[in-house]
Amino acid sequence: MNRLHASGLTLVLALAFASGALFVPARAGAADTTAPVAIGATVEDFTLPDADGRAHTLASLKGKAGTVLIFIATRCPVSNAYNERMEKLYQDYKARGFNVVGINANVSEPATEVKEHAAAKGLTFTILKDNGNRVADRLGAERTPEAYVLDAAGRLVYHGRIDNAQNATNVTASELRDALDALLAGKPVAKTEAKAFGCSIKRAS
Amino acid sequence: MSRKPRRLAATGRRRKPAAVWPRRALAFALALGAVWASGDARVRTSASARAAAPDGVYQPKRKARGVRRVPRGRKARTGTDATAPGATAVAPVPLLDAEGVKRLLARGAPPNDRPLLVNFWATWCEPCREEFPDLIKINRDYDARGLEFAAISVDDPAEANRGVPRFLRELGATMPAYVLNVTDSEPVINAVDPTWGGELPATFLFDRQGRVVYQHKGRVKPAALRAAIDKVTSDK
Repeated sequence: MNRLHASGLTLVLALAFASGALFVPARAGAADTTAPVAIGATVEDFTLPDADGRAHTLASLKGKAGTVLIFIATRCPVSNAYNERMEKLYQDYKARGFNVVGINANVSEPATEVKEHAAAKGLTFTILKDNGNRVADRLGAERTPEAYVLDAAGRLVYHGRIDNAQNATNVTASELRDALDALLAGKPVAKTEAKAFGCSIKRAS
Repeated sequence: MSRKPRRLAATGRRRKPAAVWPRRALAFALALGAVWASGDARVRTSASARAAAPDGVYQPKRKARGVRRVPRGRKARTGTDATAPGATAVAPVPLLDAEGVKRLLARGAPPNDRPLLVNFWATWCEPCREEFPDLIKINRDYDARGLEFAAISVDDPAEANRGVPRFLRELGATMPAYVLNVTDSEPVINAVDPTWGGELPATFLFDRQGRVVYQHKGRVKPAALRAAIDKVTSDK
């Protein structure tokens, strides 16, 4: 019996280390941030669930003229300051061939909260839940709100802020809309990156 | 040594020990391995589990770890309205424009001889509020050891005489503090560090030559920050 227990204990420890070893590479892989997608590079297809758990691919959400991905949050005051502007952007540009997609990558904000928040704030565009922040890592997203504009071919043409002021009455530069207008006009995007303060994305790892 | 097999409550059937043991062992092993692999996840979970403040409103907590209490004889603020009857007046925090930020950053360059720690934060930013007690301790520990410290709030400038000084007073913060007053934050972000995207909180340590020698986005890790400060303050 003692021998049986001893061999059993050895087996347990061996399995523990083996299973731990299985977890470690996954964690290390997540921490190893590969270079974010650069301006001009194609954003690879990905699949994420919406707040109801339905899976969507980027390809299925692409607009004819292009796609806007915006990392958003439910609790970030900066992101919330842009709720109306994001919804208006979606309404203004969907008939012109652009789709707007929200992505929530905050581990602290569950899907149920994302759904309730969207309903309460009147956000009607698709919002995906980036559990494990895999897409945020791939795109190099760090804050909310943070926008990515893809052209019709899926190439990244703009990355950064929506505009230059949290208070809508103080806006003097709207780089995100400028990028969409440039694509519609067949012109190159004048300013491909712009920064603003935002909430850090609360990552799972 | 022989043990009677336990009866399963639901079925009354006897369970064979030999069949149960490996399953339990496997489950235990997997759990042990997962815990071993997860490292410091517990710390992050406890921090992120804290309740968030409502949108854009700083609500003082009854008690925060590492927070110096309001001195006796002075009324502690528990509400959010500084204009309420009986509210204790708070001295406004100075505003800082983009040129002011650049002048401040030049403080960490020759001919100045003190390294400079700059923290960007806001009262509406949960991890900013959570890390502030650690920053206050660091300021107290290193002020006499040759470190300059500036806390720059990116709150609405209107908060310079409301939420920001109230928060600083409640925590007993004594480091130089400012509220950013700019129409466009991008030039400030790039002046501080071109690799910074603007996420908050963000902490930068400049050496005596004005070079960024440590930076952290998100809630600071005090041990790592202290190690960087120890190094930069000991470098001559």
